[in-house]
Amino acid sequence: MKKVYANAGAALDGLLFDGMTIMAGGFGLCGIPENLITALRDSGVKDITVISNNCGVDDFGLGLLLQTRQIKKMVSSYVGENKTFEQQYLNDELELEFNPQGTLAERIRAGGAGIPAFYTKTGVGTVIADGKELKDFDGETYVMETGLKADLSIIKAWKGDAEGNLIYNKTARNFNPMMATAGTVTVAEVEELVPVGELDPDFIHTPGIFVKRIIKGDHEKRIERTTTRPREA
Amino acid sequence: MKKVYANAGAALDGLLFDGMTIMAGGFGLCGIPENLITALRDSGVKDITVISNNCGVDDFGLGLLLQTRQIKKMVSSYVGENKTFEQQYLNDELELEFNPQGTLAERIRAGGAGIPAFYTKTGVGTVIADGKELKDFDGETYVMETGLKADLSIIKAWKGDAEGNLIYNKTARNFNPVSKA
Repeated sequence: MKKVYANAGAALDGLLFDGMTIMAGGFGLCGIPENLITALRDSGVKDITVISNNCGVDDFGLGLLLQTRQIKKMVSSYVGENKTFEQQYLNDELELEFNPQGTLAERIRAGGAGIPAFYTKTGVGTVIADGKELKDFDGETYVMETGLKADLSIIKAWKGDAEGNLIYNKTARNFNPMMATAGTVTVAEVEELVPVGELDPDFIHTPGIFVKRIIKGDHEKRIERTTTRPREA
Repeated sequence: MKKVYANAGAALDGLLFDGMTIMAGGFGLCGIPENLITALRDSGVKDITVISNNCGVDDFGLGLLLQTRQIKKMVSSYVGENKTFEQQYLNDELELEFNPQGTLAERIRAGGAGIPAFYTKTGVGTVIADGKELKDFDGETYVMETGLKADLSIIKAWKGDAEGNLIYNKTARNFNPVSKA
């Protein structure tokens, strides 16, 4: 099965429909599938539910899809760094499902592992647990959280091969490996597409079996805020 | 905090007590903490509950602790490759809690992640689900499995440093990374 596509638009061809759920890897602007996000914008697909830690910044990353109002709902842990996100939410123009960050990561992992629900202590006694099932284990109360799946996961890795094996670079790994397992279809974009056999099997983070399509992208890798140490005199 | 110890006996000093629960990494004889197992045998600690995929072979790996009858109960997925294991179980001399292999791995991971229980489809409609809570999600039935924790985990890695950072070698990784629960 051929997995390598020429560009982001071609890689998403036939996978998109209005009202779909999409997981997008990355944390802010770090480790985001820049090329696939742009292709999503250009596709015009709408009423999307996006599962992603946050939503980029106003004019980059997933923020692009807020500007075009293609996103109906966000499932996230953080809404900072993005005024459009904040305003659409406060104006009731955007649905938002808030999750503690570890809970969000585990819900995605659970979805990918075939686990429909699990219990966690995080959120018990707060609004996070409102309307959710509680259960006691060894005298402590836990809340049931459900696994998350998506029609499509778009992820970004550092290196990949034609079989879809992926290696991430440092913290740009973040939510990408879990999301790769939880999408009905997973499309990956990489900085370097290397020959099969070049990646050391022991250091592959996402095995190719999880990846249906892969492209080599061009990455701006914008940084939200650059903080540097003053140059010594 | 000093983490490096001179040998397996010194590394286990003060950690052992009768009736304790121990997780042991490895899959059969692959990726097992050979030195720590020998030290456990030499310590004489008894009535141990061991959580490990299987139990080595008769005369190596965890099998050594069966020979000395230090193990009261095994939580495992497989009892093959080891006649002592099989016989002690069939003679009711050894308790055994069977788990599907993926369920065992996930129970250990859950324990380490602070998750007391999760639902899985594996085992529904079989003896594995007997006495366990069932729950329906989207019209499908799942069984609740609980997280596993241990008083002590003994694991084996390929490379490590003085801060305890570890790298495993190929399939010798197996249950070792999750057995930090």
